Amino acid sequence: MNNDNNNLIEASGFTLRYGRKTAVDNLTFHVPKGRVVGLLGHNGAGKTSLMKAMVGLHGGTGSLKVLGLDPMAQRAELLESMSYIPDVAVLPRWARVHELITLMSGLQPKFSAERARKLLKRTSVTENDKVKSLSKGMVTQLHLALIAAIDSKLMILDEPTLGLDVMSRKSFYEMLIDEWCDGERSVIISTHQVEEIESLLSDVMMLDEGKLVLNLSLEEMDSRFVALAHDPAAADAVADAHPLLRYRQQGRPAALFDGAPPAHLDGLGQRFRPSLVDLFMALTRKPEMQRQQA
Amino acid sequence: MTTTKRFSTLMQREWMQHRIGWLVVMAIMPVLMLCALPFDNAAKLPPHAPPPTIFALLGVAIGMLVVWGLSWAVAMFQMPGLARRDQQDRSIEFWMSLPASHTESVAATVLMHALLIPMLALAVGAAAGLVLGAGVLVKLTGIGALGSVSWGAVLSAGLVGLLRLSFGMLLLTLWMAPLFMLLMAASAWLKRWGTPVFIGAIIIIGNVLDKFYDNPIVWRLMSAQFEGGRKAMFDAANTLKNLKDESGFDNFLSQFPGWALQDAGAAVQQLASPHLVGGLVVAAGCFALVILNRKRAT
Repeated sequence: MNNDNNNLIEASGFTLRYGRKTAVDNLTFHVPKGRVVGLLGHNGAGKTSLMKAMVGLHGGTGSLKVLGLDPMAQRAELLESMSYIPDVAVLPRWARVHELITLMSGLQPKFSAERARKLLKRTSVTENDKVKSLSKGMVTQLHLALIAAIDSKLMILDEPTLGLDVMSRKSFYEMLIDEWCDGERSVIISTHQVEEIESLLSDVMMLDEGKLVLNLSLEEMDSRFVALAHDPAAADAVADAHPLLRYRQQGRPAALFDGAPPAHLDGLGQRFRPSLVDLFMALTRKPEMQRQQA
Repeated sequence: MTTTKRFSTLMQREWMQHRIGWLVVMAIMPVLMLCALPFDNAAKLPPHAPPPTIFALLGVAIGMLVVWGLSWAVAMFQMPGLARRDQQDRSIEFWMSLPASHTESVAATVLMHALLIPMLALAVGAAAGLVLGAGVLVKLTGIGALGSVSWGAVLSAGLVGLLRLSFGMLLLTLWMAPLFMLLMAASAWLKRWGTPVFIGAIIIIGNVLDKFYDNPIVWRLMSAQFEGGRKAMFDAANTLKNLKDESGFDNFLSQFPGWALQDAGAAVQQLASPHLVGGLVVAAGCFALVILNRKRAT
């Protein structure tokens, strides 16, 4: 990610522990404005812990500033200026939609009830619906409509589409991009559905066992990582070049390299752009790379 | 956004979530009594019945007592469960994604359930009692009895009584705070075992100290809290009986406002008690424990 004076998030040597277990280990990164950042990692990699730290629900050591504020010490002030969906299905089930709009209006100073109603018109949710009568997908759409109606600079989404069907997931991300992202605001999305959000992202951060193993823009990713599809006969030569990952791509063996593959391999196959999923697999499986990045 | 607006919104949230239950509890007794009124054909006015105005005022008093008593009992019964309500329905993550602190959230819950809703029940009870009193009068002596009631005096005395009881409710909440906050803290940390463990611990510790060490301190402390609460609510200096005996029904109404003011003053004076101060310290500690548990839940 580009360094910028307008960083919305800045972390330096940030570590978060639960007792003896280190959930987030010595992270240093920044998120400038106008970015859509994918926070990727296996279960237990530290994604949710990091996000909770960003919204002041967990404290750690080192430095973490969000919108220039200390999340733990200035939590209420911070939450007035950011949007956060912690997880799916956390809206109070007893509430009707218009009651949630009323409550958000009273609790969140930058919330616009008018905008929330406008966003709700994109969905099949009506103001008189009770949360408990809505499907999981509709609840998620409702939650996004509510927090997208907050005039904030930063949105943090922790597995927002977990458990939703493909239509609901697509609708969710369409609304997010159409109605909230404007080039000035930044979003951090943690998800396992990497392939679905790859086209939305401007940047990607990968966590593995609490460590940041990758943090770069997708443009940088395209120029840095190269995949090579090759014939089975060239497998030994490719393996000797120590790729990050060997896998199959459309039925053919393929290898993923950090940087250009050695020149002598060029004639043995065709280069192509590796997907984020392949890169994720490569970086969170390969211990050498992790140590190097750390 | 001011803290006041945020806090009032959190109280509004309590109303939104619990209003149906609260309104049902407040309405059930008056509605049942009103429905039963036309069918009680055996009822007759007793020979030494008070004058119609006092009779109507009794209706207001009984209405307040019944509706408030039921509502307060239900609220106290609910209090332990409120400590973990948001964790149980998983909505705590939503509330914590908004700029409201744990302290504000818990305080709004306690304030609404322990104080404001019982106060509302007093007002509802007074209004329902007025209607019921009039209904009973009509039933016993005919529609003409309504004309012999001094409604202005009933309304003013009823309002004074309502104000005195509402103020008493505030003081009662302070006296009872250690008990319901202990129950809330126990439920927050021990979940469904909280209330039985708390009650069991009180019974066992109280009996052990009393029977084996001849030290009934637990019973004394609890008795002091309940006695303080009772006096806070009404007739703090035990002077109501004197007022009636000395002045009779005729002068009772005119002297009632002055008596209520003095009684409120006596209730305030009784706040200067080590029992109350100690209880509030315990309540504050339990409040902190509930907050701590809530923080850990996120």
